[in-house]
Amino acid sequence: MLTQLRTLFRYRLLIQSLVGRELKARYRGSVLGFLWSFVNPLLLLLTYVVVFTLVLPGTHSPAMEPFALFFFCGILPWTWFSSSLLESAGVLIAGGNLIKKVLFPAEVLPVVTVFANLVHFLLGLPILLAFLVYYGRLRPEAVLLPLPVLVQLVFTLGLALGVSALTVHFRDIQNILGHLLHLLFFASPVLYLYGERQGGVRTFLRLNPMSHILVSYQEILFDGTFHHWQGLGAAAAAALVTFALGAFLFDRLRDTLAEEV
Amino acid sequence: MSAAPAIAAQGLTKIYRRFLHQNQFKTLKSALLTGSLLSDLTPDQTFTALEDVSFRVPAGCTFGVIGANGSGKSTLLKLLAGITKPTRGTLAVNGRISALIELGAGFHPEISGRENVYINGIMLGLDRKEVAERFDQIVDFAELRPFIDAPVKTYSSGMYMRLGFSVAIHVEPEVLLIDEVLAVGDESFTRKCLDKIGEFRRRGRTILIVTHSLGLVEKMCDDVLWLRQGRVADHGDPKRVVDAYLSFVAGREEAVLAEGRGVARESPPPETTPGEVAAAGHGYREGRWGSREVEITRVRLLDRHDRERHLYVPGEALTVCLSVRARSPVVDFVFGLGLFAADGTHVYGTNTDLEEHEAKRLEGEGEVRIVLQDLRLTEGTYLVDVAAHKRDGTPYDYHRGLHSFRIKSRLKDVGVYRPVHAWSFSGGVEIASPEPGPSSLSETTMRPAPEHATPLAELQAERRSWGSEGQKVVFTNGCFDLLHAGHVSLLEAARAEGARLIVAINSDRSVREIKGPGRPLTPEGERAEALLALECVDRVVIYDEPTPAAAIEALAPDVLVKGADWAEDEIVGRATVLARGGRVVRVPLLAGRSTTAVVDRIRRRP
Repeated sequence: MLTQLRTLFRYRLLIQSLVGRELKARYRGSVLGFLWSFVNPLLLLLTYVVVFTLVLPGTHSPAMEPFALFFFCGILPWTWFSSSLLESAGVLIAGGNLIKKVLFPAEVLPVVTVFANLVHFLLGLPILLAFLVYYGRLRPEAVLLPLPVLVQLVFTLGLALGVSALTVHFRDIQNILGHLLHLLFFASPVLYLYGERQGGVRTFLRLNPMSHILVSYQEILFDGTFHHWQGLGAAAAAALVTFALGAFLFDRLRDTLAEEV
Repeated sequence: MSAAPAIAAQGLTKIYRRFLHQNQFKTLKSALLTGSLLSDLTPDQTFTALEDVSFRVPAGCTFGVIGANGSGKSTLLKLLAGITKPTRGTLAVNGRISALIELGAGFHPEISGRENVYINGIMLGLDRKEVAERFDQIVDFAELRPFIDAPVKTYSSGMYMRLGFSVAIHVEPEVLLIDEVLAVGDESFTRKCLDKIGEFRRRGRTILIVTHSLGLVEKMCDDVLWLRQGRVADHGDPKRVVDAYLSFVAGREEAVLAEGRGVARESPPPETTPGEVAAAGHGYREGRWGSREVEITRVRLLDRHDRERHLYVPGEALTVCLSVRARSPVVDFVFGLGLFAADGTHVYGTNTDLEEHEAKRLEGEGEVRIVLQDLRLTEGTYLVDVAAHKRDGTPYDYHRGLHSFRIKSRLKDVGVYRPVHAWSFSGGVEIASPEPGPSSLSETTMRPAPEHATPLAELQAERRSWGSEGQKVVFTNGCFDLLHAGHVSLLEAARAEGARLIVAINSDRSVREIKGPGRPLTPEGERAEALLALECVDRVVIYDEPTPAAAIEALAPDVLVKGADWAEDEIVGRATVLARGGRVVRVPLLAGRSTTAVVDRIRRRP
């Protein structure tokens, strides 16, 4: 894992330029251009708020009011997580030309995907902060925000590495992954409170590192108090293990990539 | 330049999976456990692209890799570039590599040329500052200044490749790998690329080129590796390896031609009534038809030595030999011949009736030969029509396009017919004509050779095939205008030096030039005949120049033999032979057996 980190550090310049290229290329040609980074999460927010306040009113507990704000605290990091994984599944195949024809460190590609989505996440944050200020909920605890971000980054990187390398061998992953993530979305506390779930669901949520990461976001931003240290610590440990596994898997499959892509 | 080689490869072997999507779980398992895709596969599920390839490229060397498609060249390049790992063997590359394998790989179509240059440069190992320093050079070299801020997707493919080439070449690698990428633009850009590569050579960088352009290899490379089906077929001096490769390819083409055209197939006659062979129009279709009252049972294409051959060089003689059989005696018959280029162009047609040969009677079996004395044709495949028919055109047996031969030429002149020609220049026209090397010599110095002498061009082809069979070729020369025992011992000693002995003799004209108007005593045709009758002599070739330098250059003998009366440094062609790694042998002479002494002795008799 250390060698992996060293490689990534060595290629930081390349990663940096590729992330920049990714962001520039994404909205090139669209009318709103870069504004989409702000508009996208707002539209997503709008959709869910309409559904849960007009179509299904009363399905969420009063502790989650204002619902839009609560939901925004969860959906923003979730979007980063799920988009990163979905894109990294195809990223090695799409970049096949690079891997096959140029001496190119393949792990850079999934890493770039995760970082590019991180930038989108960061661009969404000012809107969230504006909401917090609007509702008068911005507390000093918000300075803890980098902690869950860091844990989520390591966790997502590990998964992205593993998923991208495996997808080269099993293209099926590209198809199933979207459904898995959708399922996981409902199995993570984005639309409901972690604390209010009981029994089997609770056990499952406890085992899901994303639960703890999302709860941390919600406590830091929405509640303004942070008690979930233990959960976040456990998630951090899980993230490190995931990263090590993903890096190992990638490393093992690295030499096969150029032939299989 | 350092002493360590820039590239050292030892026993490189690369095995691929043959069927990508079979045994996925098996291969994934072995990939995870052993880091290889192959360990759990049986040999018939794998494909060996390279096998036991070893070579070293010294720093500063320009190294060529040639071979047919599928011989493993690209695999080798990928291994060198580090894109894939060898299955077995070791590979060490010293210094920064830039691989021109896929130009512009990694360009993003949506963003501008400028941004792509930066990212591509960083991908190739530069940092932002280094790219900035080289940016202007890169853009100017690619000639894309006006378009550099446009998205790359708007570029033409030539612009795209030019930019890719320009970035890759400005990375200033210590080792440059080039894969057939010099076709990146118009003539002038290609020349610029070659200049740039020349500059790399001068600066002592190491270059490895994979190409099909043999001319480029001969011109630029210091060392050449020939791959055949993943193995090293030959390695060494560019000229020698390229020649060996060419004669191998020629041999294979020969086999294909002989095989594909050997059997005459039946086919219905075309709708148009077949006329004389001489008259063929468009819509050329191969086939065979006719009543078979007279049957052409066999068609052979023979060279000067009556051997069946399908590959010729311009200037050679070709004999079309028909074996014919008449079911019952006939009196009305004509034999015809037609030559067609591969595209159906009618090159020539004639028949015995047109040339006023009067048919008397044909009974039982017989043979008809037509000698095409001098094939003055350009490179290409030619189809041969042969026919036996009645004077009014009614066919007995008509073979259309069933037989073919190929003309192979180093000169890439175009058209069908190559007239005998010569260039001369005067006044303010300054042109350096090619040195009398193999290419110009074999095809321009063509003179009708007597029956027992082999034309140089033909001999050159033979010499190449001897070389590829590993036969050592010995060369000696002289006037031989009076053959005597001294000659015989010299020639026998010469032959003992190798497997084949070529004797080059001066033409009558050049003997006269050297020895005065009293000589030669015997005309060249008879001299050739007498020499060829000796068991130790394999071929006789006649040269018209005062010295055999051009013939030696063309034939590249392994051993050059002269009598010991010649001082070592007087021997013509010595440097040429030594430079190719050959030997020069001086054979002791028998006392009193020089030709001049024999002539004197005869003259003193009353």
